[in-house]
Order: sequence, then structure tokens, then C-alpha cells
Amino acid sequence: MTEGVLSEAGSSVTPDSVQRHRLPHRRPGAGFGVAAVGLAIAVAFPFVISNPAITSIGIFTLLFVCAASAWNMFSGLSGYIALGNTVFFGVGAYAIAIGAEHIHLRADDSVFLLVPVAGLVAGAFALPFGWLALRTRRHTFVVITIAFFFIFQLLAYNLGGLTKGAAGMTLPVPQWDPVTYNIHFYFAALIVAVATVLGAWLIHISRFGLELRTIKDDEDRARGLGVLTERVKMQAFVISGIFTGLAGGVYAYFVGSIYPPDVFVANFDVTIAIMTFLGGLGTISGPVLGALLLEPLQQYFTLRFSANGVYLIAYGVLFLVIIRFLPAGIVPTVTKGIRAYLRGRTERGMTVLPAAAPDQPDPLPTSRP
Amino acid sequence: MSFLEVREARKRFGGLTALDGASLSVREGSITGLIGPNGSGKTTMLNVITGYEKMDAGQLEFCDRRLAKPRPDRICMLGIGRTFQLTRIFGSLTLRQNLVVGSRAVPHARRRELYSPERLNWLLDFIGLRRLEDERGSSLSYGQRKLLELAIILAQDPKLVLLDEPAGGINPTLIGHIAEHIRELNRKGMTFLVVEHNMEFVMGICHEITVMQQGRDILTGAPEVVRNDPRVLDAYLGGALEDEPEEESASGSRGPAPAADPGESR
Repeated sequence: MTEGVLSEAGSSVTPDSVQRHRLPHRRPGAGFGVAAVGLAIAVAFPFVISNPAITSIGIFTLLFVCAASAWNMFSGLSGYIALGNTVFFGVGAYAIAIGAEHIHLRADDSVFLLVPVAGLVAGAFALPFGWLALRTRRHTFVVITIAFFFIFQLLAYNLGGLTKGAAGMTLPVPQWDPVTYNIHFYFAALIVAVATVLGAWLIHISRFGLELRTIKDDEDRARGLGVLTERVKMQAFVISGIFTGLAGGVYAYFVGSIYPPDVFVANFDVTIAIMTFLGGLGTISGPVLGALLLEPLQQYFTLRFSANGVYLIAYGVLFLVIIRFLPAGIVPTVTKGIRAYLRGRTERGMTVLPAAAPDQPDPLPTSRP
Repeated sequence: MSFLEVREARKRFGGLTALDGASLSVREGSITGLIGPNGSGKTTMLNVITGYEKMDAGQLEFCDRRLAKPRPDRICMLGIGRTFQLTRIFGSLTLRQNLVVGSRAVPHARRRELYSPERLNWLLDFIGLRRLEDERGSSLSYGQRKLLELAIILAQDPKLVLLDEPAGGINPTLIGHIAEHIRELNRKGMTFLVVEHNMEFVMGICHEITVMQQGRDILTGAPEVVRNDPRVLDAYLGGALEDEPEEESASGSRGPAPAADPGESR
């Protein structure tokens, strides 16, 4: 087994190895099937249920799918817990509001063309934000991202010429048929959410995603192996900002009027973080699942008990429950269970692999301690 | 002209002088040992070579190139790989994923060849962990982690490999196995600098040994010369830690930490 020269080993290509990915990763498994079914349900949803109160919940939920997935792209993979993503959400929202006002767009689907612009503007803001915040790590990083959120909220209040300050900004209200009114926003939100999840998937299977995860495990070591950690972190931070900005853009157009404390809001980050933790930090489906579970719940609480913050109590309880019983989140816990079950079944069905002692290869006692 | 050359390196951590004008020279194609009692500055020496610590004063040359401000990523791209005393692998990645982490550091032209599936298979076979390739790094035992860390470095096909206690906390059979691996790689042209407390291991594989004491290099020579030099015995006995290797392998992890490596607390 110790035959061969280091640089010779790669010369021959065997049929078995051709099929292997260049970058090894865990097989996607049943994930694609679940995603396809979920997408089909999401597309059919507004046609089956036309009650605007319910479709509105659907829209908010999809926007949170987007925001939580975007948050997970950076924080979930790199382990840097950012609590200032509301900055990107707010910048995206204000970008579309300011844009629509200055270009005098007619209030119809053409406003949605500004959503990608809102994402890019948010990404542009992520550059200086990341440049400063990513000089720090761990707790300091968290505190700095929170500080950025306050700074941006204050800026939105005080840059009156641009944002109209506390008076807030209104977006043009489309004159659509009330029956199909929400469907426009629903599909805009769905496209944004699907694009984000797709982006998350691409990151997961790429070397870029692998490098982000090395940062979570041991950043200095990764750097010592040639991973350009500074650049990787920055790229992920900006990508996360762009996708969050998209959600902010659709949100602003949907609600029609935005105020500084509505879009630059601490609860936003707490919410997407809890969603991601509940679903499973660092997984693709985790933040999606978390948003699908929590956002309707929050909307329900708001409808049921009015907007007095009862949902915050529920969130607090939930957070404790997650930490106590599901510290890894739903997706990793369930996957682990399924994997253990399958492994157990295979081992009962087949002959058990001979347990070759890993620590004892060819005995060559040249020395002893 | 030397392959790796450290001249008069100085490094202080607050009131503690870790390197006090230490010099070190590694010949191309050799296995060089770096020994000395705990706290003599061996790990700090590796840290300043690989850019994990900044030298206060001194010079570093590699392949006749002066390295003014070594940084871990650049050092790695120059072809210097290192392992750590307390192994550092990526626990949340599979073994196979661990191996490809360093692929950015190799020149683009060689990446395909060095990180081809066959070569990764070969590396996994080399360390005897092929059947665990889809397990996460965190599930490995201490000894297996050491081997994996070595394989991550070897995947990059570096010119020079710095090993920080490759035999610490490893069972005797495996130590023999590692020694065999090092010799074999060395025969193919890879240069090694080995920091190690296990004297038999060092004496067995090294062509040349540098002894450090209190941040200075006190002696360099062939193993026989070093073994019989009274100053070496003095350095160790004077350091009052004669049974150090046993202590480390018994605890299964790093023994008493040398005072001079805060850089390793991540």
C-alpha cells in the first residue's frame, strides 16, 4: 500500500474513478425529490388558496426563506454569527423605494425589475460593512454587526433628503384586481426564494462552500493551507447581502410603505437566526424548513392576538426548546437518525465489515517511545 | 547556499524570550531534526518559519529567496507544509474533503494532477484510512488525525514539510509506520524538518539534528555526534524534564505546553 510516487499516482485513470466528482461531497440523496415536490406545492399554493390573508402569509414566509437562506450562506457556513443582516434588508427596501420614486415607474410588474438592483445595492453596502466587521472574530464580530444595524437605522432617520426620515417612504400602489393582487408578489417572492436556495446549493457543492466550512472549523489552519480566508469570507458576506437585499426589495413593494424602524429592525436578525438554528445551521434545507415553520406561526400569532408581540414569547420558549432538545437543528438530527437506521439495517442484512484496526498498519518497529 | 535558512531569529512574548537569536539550516533532500527541552523554542521556530508568528528580528530564506514578511498562506504556496503539535484537521468535513482543502495553494497547472481522484485514493491508502473516506474528521482517533493531517500536507506535494511532534501520543507500531513513510517520501526527494521529543525516532530518521536550548541553537550535527555531546544531556537534564516523551504518549495529547506558543490557541 505504500507503493508509488507522489506525483505519479495521478497519471492513470480508472473507469471507477471517472464517475467521481472532482470535489468530493456527500451525495444529495432524496433532497432533490423533496425540493421538486416542495416547489410544485409552492407554485400551486396561490391558485388553490386565494384568501389574501393566507397568501400574504405565504409571501412573508417566502421572503423569510430567502433571508434565512442568505444568512445561512455566510453565518451558517463560516460560523461567523452576523446579526446585522437587517442592514441589507433595509438597504434593499430603501433602494427600491428611492429607485421607484426617482424613475417614476408605473406601478405594475415593471417595479419588480428593480429588485435585482436592490440586491446589488445591498451587496455594494456589504463591501465596506464586511471590510470593517470581518477584521474581528467571534463575539466582537457579533457586536460590530449589531452596531452596524443601529448606524443604518440612524442614517435612515437622519438622511432625510434621501429617505424622508421618520416620515417613511411610500411606493407606488399597483391597480391590480384584488383577487389576483397577491399573486404578483407571491411569484416575485417565490422567484427570489428559489434563486436564493439555488445559490445556497451551488455554494454547498462548490469548493467555495468547502472553504467556508474550513473557516468554521479552523480558520487559521485553513489559511495555512492556502485558503484565502479573507477573500472567501468577504465574498460570502457580499453574496449573503445581495440575496437579503432581494428580499428587502420585494418586501418594500408589497407592504407599500417603509419606515426606518420597520426595515432596520433587530427582530429581523433574531428571527432568521432562530429559523436557521431550528432547521439546521449550515444545511441547505435547514433555513428553508425553519422559515416555513416559524413565519406562518408568527403571522398566526399576530392575526390572533394582534401585533402586541405575543409571538416573541413563543419565540423565546422555542429558542430554549431548540437549545435544550435540538441543539443541531431539525435537519441534521433527522438525517443522522435516518443514516444510523440505514446503517444498522445494512449491517444486520450483510456481513459486517472486518474491523481492521486503524491504528495498526504494517508493524515496522523502527523505534519505540 | 541553503534550502531553508533561519538566521538569528528573535521572538519575545511579553517578558518571555522564546527565540533568542536562534539559527537553523535545512539542507535540500535531508531529514533534519530539531530537538530541545520543553520551552526551548522549537514550536516557536516552526511558527516564525510558517508565518504564524512574526519574528521580532532575524532573517528567513527559502530556496535562496529572502522572505521578509512570511504569511501562512504565502508560505504554503511556496511549498512549505506543516503539521501541528495539537493536530488541526477539519472536523466537520469528510476525510476526502479534508484532503482537498489545500488545493488552492498549488499552481493551477498542477491542481488537476495533484487532486485527481486517483491520487486522493492513493493518499488515503497511504495513511490507511481509505475505508473511512466518507466519515467526518471529528470521528477519527488522535493517531488517525495525525495521519490525516500529514496526508492533507502531502496532497500539496510540498518541497519542505515541517512536522511538529509527529510521534507524540501515538502508539509504537504506528510510530514505526510514520517513520517508514517519512523515509520513503524523503527518498523521493521531499525535505523534512522534524520537531520531536522521542529520541529514538529522531535519531533513527534524521540525517542532521539541531539542538535548541532557551531560544538558542546550541549544537548542530549528525545524530551520533548529538547523541554523545555532553551539552545535549545537560540541556535536557538541566531542563528537569527527563521523562517527557512517556508523559506525552500516556496522556494521549499534548503534554505540558511549552510556554512559548500562544499562537496555537486558536
